[in-house]
Amino acid sequence: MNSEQLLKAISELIKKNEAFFASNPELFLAVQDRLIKAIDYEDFDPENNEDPEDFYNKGYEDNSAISDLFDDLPEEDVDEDGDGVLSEEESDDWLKENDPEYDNYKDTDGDGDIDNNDIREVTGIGSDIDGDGDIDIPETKRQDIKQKDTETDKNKISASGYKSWEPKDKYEPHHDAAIKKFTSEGWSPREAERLAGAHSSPSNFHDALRSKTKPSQPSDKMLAHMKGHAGDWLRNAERKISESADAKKNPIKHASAKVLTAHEDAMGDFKTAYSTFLNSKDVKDLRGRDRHQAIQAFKGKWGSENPTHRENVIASADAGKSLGEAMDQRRQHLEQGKEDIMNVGKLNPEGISSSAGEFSTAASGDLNDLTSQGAAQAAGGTQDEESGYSTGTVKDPSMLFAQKNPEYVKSLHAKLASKLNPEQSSRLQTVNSVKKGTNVK
Amino acid sequence: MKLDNFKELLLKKSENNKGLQVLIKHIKDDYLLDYVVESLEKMAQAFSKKNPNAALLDFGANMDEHTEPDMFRDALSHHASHYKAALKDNNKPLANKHAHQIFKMMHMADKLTRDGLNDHSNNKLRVEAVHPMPWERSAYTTTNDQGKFKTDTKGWAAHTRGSNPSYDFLSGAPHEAYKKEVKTHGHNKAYPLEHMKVNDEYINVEDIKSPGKFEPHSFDKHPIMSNFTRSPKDHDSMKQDDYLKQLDGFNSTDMNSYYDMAEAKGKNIKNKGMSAPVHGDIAGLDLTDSHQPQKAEAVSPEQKLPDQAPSLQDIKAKLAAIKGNK
Repeated sequence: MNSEQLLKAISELIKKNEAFFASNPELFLAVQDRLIKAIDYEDFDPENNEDPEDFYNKGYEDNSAISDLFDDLPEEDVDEDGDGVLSEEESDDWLKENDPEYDNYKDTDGDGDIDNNDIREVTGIGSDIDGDGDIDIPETKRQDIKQKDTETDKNKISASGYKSWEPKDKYEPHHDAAIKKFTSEGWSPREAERLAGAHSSPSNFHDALRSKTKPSQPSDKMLAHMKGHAGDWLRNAERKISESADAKKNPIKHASAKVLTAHEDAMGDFKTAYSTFLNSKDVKDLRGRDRHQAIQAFKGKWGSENPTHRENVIASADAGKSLGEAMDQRRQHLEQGKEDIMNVGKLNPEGISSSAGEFSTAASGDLNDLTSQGAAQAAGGTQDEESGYSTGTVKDPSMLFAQKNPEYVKSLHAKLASKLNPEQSSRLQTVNSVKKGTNVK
Repeated sequence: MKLDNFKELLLKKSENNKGLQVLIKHIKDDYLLDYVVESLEKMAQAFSKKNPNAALLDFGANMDEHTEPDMFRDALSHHASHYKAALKDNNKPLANKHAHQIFKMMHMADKLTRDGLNDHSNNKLRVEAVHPMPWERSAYTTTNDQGKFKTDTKGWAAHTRGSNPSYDFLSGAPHEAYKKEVKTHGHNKAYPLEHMKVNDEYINVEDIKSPGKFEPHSFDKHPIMSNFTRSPKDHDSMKQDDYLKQLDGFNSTDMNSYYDMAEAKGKNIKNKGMSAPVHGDIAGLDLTDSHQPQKAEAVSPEQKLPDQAPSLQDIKAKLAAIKGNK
């Protein structure tokens, strides 16, 4: 079983047994934490020309932590038919053996199956106890879970071999002082130990992945600290997505990235130099007029040392034109799409398929122009029992869309009619009636 | 994607709103599609309108966390104080002028930071305020035959509506169409101007005597205020050149007069906390749900059970809550 199959199997198992996992949160969280670690396999180096899938699978084989979690769940015992997916029966068999409360479950709803509703009857997990429309975990169950956690903490090492983090009995005096300083600033003791350099945890990712110490809840200080990094990552990710956006499908997104890239290119090293300057010892404590004057002096100096900077910034503004062009392109694309949808179904009545005929009569009522599907029919297409029509060519997507959504086509026609002035509207009606009367082909 | 799958996605998304689920389940595909396309068109339009021009990008890149944001907060404080004073004197035209300037500044900040989603100030300018749309809606309540509002709300961009837009709606209660949002932030009376924050500090709304005429703030003259609304395609290199020249002038003269004013006041520009409410107390929007289900006792245990087993998300949220309570 490769990693993908394993993940599928885990996902299937979790979905089918939500209530069971809810009553065993430790196992659930351990699975979740391990999976997050496993997928974040950041040591992959694309320059090694290694296939990412091979790398990932190798990582999985090396990753004893995941397989340790499932010592009780050997694949040959659970996935009996070896299809890589856990069927309901297979999951049920496993639960029979491993869920201590399984014998208490009854088929309360009489549907011949023990499902989540039945499990809920026994565990109480998932009921809306206070009637607020939200799913609640009863207080007794909460206490049980707390009790279990306390016992686990006492025993330090859980059944799955994981232990909670504990501070060391004794630290070096300078470490001790540093830890106190960091904790007073809001870092958690574990984070403070790490920041003070007093930890003996694994220092690289591979070893950390195999670590048997449970992850801890980050402090608010740590979360706030990480937020800034996350912001940069998100911005970079969004920029990457925009840059690689298909100019035809997402013209505005694509053009927007072009504008930002032009700006970034024009700014060059300014942002880095500016940031370094603002955080320098001489400037960071300045405020008010003094700070403003220092900044202006820096910018003046930067301008004289980089004579093309201002010119580049000015020139980069012209990239905004591409956004205007993209907006026009999007508008045209949208209008074209609507027009295509409105025009389909305007087929010659003699060459029309039954389903398209229904649509065209219902929605357009105008049977003159020939669409690509009509053309395909004329070229010798055959009728298909399931889809109604089939040719060797690709079907016109506008036709398919319009066939399925006649009311939408009607509304498009209505909108078009509402945009015309009375004179135009009357002219259009005359033209349409003449066309119908003469059956122009 | 098949429309059926799309419907399923919508149903899943609206798990907590039974009314919405019923609507999605029973609405005709064509109408659903129509509404979705309409919303997407609006989003695409909003997205393109929010793209900053080169002047805004330049303003963000050149910003200093302790210079422009401090000035921005001082300007908001100035206009809010004068707005409050004008309201007190029942001088609505003057109050509107100051409210207009507040909206213009907030619109600029909104375009620059995109509410933190695509922040071109790189987190140097952080403006927090309750969104004014629920209040603005109260001023435009006419509906068409289908029951849709005829006039769209513009939010902070409301300053672009006509030559002398009225901001009287700020003194009233938010519109009931925004009940859900209002419930979330809890402000159901007049617009809470005093809750505005710039870089984590509240604006300082002082109780001053209205001078009876509009008094601008130095930041109003900042070139960005006259350049930010221009679309990127219209703000070409010539316009950018003009902007940079205006900025040179502003930095050498107007900034100095700003500091002169600040120093003359002889006080720290930073404030000390939230100011007293700008608007008077009024009867707020009724937030009780008229379609509230009957009390829990009246519902049989069978009815209390949800249709489906809890989702993984529900369970994870519950577990996270338990872990957090430990």
